[in-house]
Amino acid sequence: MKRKVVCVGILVFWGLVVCTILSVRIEEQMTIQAMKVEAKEEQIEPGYSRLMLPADALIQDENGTHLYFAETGDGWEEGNRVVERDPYRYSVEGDRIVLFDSLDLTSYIQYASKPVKVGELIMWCRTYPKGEDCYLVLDPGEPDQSLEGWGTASVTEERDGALLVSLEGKQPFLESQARSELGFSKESRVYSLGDVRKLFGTFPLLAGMAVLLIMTVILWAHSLRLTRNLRENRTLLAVNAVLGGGMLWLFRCLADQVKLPSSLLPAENILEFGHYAEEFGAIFHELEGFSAAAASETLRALPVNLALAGTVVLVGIVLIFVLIIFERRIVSRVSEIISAGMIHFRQNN
Amino acid sequence: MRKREKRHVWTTLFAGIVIFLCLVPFLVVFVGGFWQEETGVSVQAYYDVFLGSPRYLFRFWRSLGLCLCITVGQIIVSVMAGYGFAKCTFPGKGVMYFFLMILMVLPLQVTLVPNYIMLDQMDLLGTDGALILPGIFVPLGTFIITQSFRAVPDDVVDVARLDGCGLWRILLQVAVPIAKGGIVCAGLLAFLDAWNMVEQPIAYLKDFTKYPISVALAYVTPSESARQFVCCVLVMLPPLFLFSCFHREMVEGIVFGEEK
Repeated sequence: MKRKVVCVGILVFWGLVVCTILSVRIEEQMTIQAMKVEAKEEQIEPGYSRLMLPADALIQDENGTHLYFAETGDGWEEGNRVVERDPYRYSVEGDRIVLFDSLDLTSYIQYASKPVKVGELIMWCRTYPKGEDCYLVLDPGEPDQSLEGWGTASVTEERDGALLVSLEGKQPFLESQARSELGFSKESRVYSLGDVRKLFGTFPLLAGMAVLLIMTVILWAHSLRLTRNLRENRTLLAVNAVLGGGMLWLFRCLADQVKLPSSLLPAENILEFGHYAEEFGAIFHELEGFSAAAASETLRALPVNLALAGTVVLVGIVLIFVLIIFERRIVSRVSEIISAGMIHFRQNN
Repeated sequence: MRKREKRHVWTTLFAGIVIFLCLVPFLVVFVGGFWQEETGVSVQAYYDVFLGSPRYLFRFWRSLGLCLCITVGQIIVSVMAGYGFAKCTFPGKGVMYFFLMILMVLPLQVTLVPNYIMLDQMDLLGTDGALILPGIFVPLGTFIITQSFRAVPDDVVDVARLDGCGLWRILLQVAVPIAKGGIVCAGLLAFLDAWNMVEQPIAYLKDFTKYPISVALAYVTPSESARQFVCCVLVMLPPLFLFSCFHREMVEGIVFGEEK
């Protein structure tokens, strides 16, 4: 009974360590990246000026329009957190927001990588050029500025209700920034195909992480069987413990390499598979109608990366079963070599 | 016979009701973690605590490290003190043991202020040392281990001494293995006491980030009841594991001291 309790305890302990590693990375990936804007003073008449913000800073969702800023939280809510400005402290005049408090020097959220919610963690960022990219725009409306907002932007291909736009992309990709600066309608959806391919490119890494977890659980089950005869299997159990520790370290290294594009992640739960199905369903449905190279490259990226991921999983599972089957032989062979080496060393000395 | 059977049924029924009433809070905790007001049955709270953010797990590991330091320190001190009280003779032993027992029955609040003053003078307030140091020198562990060492036959100690064993060898290789049950019991109680401490962190620590999970749990937003329940599940894990593993040693440790 004690043996089983200790083994289950070790599994729970390992599970908590894995959750700790994952939660650090998940929180990093799910933190909203946002560009800030500060109110500018505009002189209305001598001796009287007002603080103004661009209308971009107003964020619309199903509950209405909101003006958000960030504040350092305390207690459990430490870190930079989203706070909503009281609607009675500002008014919207045309394409600008007027702040009633003339001393309001707060930085407001102008563009965000994901839908913003009060209390969410936020990280200020600046966008910088990332190289050639292609944006898929759904329901673009009538662009006001002919895409001049981003210099080299040009329409590659156009279909009914969708556009493919080639341009010098920005990192990180902020959909609301792209929508606003390129002049698309507020109801449009803009997807960076570079980000989509980047997400698919992480599948083999994610598969590697998943297979390491599966391998560790299989190794644990094998070790549970070995504990029935503790004295005889001491060496094997020690080897399994070292292997388990090594796989955990490898898992952590892989987790550090995973960088998911924030624009494609769900708002609340990274494991919300319904969100991914909806988003990628819409993207692929539109991309299939395009013949541009960027579209076909993106469509090809998914099956290629899925195949790689599947291979990683298969190799991992086969590897662990092979290891379990030949473990005793390998360990005894290694012990013989070490013993022979030590005897040889003693004889020489 | 029928009367006896009837009594047996009623006794079983009564015991079942009492057990159910004892288990109801735990059932509420487990089930409550899966219930969200807006969405009904959901694992969102478990995701929030175990995967969504590392702050709960970091707090858990921090508390676990703190409790392990207190437990190990208390065991070391209590083993040495317990052996001294059980097997050594020195002037004032009876008086010191009497004072030890008085300290043991005093409520924690009596020593809170003197400890605070001492820790302030030692510049330990607001640090982990403010929790660890008073936690190490707790009389209960010494009392339990003294009783366990008293049950070690004097003949065994004398034989070891005749064989040439010094004090430390007798302690570590003769007395400790025999009194293992009592030591494990003292360790278990020390860990549980440290894991559940509330007054000491509130009194000695100022920074919320240093609070152990037992205190920080109370600061989880009341509107997020599902998340609170999941945090309770997290907090329950170490005591559940330790009790499942060492409940036999715990009973032995309590009983052993009475058998001479």
